[in-house]
Amino acid sequence: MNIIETRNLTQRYWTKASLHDLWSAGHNPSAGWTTKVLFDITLSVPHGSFYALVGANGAGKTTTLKVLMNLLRPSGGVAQVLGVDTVRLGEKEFAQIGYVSESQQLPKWMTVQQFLDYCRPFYPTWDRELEAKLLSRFGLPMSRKLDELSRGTLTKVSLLSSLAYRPKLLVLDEPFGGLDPVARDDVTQGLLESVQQGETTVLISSHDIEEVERLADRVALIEEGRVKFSEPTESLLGRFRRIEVAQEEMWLANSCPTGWINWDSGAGRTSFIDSAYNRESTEALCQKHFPFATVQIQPMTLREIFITLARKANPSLQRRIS
Amino acid sequence: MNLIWHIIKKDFSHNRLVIFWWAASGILVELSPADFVRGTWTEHGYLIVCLLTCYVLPVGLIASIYQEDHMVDSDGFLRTRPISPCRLLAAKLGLVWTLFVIAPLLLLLIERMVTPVTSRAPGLGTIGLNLTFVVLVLSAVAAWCKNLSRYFLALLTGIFFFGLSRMAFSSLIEATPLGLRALLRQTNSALITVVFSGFWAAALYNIYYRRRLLVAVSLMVIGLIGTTLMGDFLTTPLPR
Repeated sequence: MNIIETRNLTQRYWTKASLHDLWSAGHNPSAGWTTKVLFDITLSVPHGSFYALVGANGAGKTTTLKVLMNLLRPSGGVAQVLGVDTVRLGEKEFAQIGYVSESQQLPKWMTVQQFLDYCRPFYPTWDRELEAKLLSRFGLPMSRKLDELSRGTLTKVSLLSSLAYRPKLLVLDEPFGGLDPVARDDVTQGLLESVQQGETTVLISSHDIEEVERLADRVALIEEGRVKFSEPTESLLGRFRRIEVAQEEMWLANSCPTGWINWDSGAGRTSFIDSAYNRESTEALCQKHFPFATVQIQPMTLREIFITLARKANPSLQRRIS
Repeated sequence: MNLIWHIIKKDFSHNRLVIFWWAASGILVELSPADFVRGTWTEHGYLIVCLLTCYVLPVGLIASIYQEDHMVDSDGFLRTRPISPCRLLAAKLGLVWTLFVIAPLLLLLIERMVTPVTSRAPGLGTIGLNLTFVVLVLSAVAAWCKNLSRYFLALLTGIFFFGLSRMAFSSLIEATPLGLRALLRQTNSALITVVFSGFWAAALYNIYYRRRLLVAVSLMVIGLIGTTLMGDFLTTPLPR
């Protein structure tokens, strides 16, 4: 069963540029009044999974999450969360959903203790034991006001307030943004401890690929409002390999399989990425194309795969991602 | 009901200092000599400050109560929490109405019990209705605006257009047939207040339930124009 389903989800925003054009009487009607930021997003998040949306800044990850949380009304397509259309999400559904976003306006005049006391009555399933456990893991200063907390500590407070009632679905929007390594590790550990029973489905948007690789069992890459792929992390890691050939002959690229991408050559070596790796067939192809050269096949990290795909899709993204 | 009470307690606790100052200044004004306005500034300066506090603080307080959990922006904390817009609006309206309608009415009731007033003084019902109308107007504007500066800007814009439309309507009233003017003057002013309160309540409904901001703005504009027009018809004397 899928806990989140979207079909051809699109989102448009009114553009400031078009309003300005209208004011200055320079509007070009063919350009339209809106900017499309999501293009036919189709996603299925299975129950119990740890699903990551990755992509560069401005790719459309946050907008997708906001549509899923009924914070934005979709311009087109269908989105369902917990089997309910997102525009109809109500008290019953939100009692089972945790949402953590750094842009969320918390009541910052409250102390941590007051904030937890404030959140508790909203959730009949609030677990005081889990709250105490998370409090001790995160080491939160109970008497300090939220306004006085660092970004990392504020994320921990927000996460605690969204985990303590054991939600069925936890939606995290860039939870690792601006966190130091210690705070990041605390957040990750707290998250893993709370969701390890497999009862909570986690949907996380991040461009922190290392954390995503550590946590997620499914990954979707969003680029310029479009889903480029969505597949299990294991299968993604399994089908990408960096191949290095001790031979500098670029002409080989012309006759090679289309799955071999990102060719690079220099200093007597040629390297490329195999995006459809299969041990037997890749080795056979290497044998065919480089019969007299030494070939090294290396696994890739999710970060390397992400950069490879982003470069392939949009060369201008190269600098931003790296 | 529990969640409504929970939100009311939170809003009251957040604004308790301002509420205290407002209540204290209100009581001071009530206890002051009735003819203090005739005195000099140095004699009764503190009372003028109290009087200003009494009228200005509620305007800011209403904004603070609504904008703490604003429903317009997508970053509002309670928008992803299990509380329906109905309960949230009930909590906000409940607190604002208790503070700025019920409390002043009680104070007035006590005052009238101590010092009887002439029969020409407006009844408590009329005062309550008018206060409710003002509270609804301020609530709708506060709920629609994202922050305090926009709220005050919207109020100033509203006041400006209120003045402008009064000027525009004066010629319209003169051009209206006398029979119709006489008929409109006989209309029950309480009924008119109730009808136009409905526009502001509908604007609040659209902000909280439907999040249709353009519809809410349209209703507020109609409410403003309608109130001004009907107010002008009621207050402009008929020519002899």
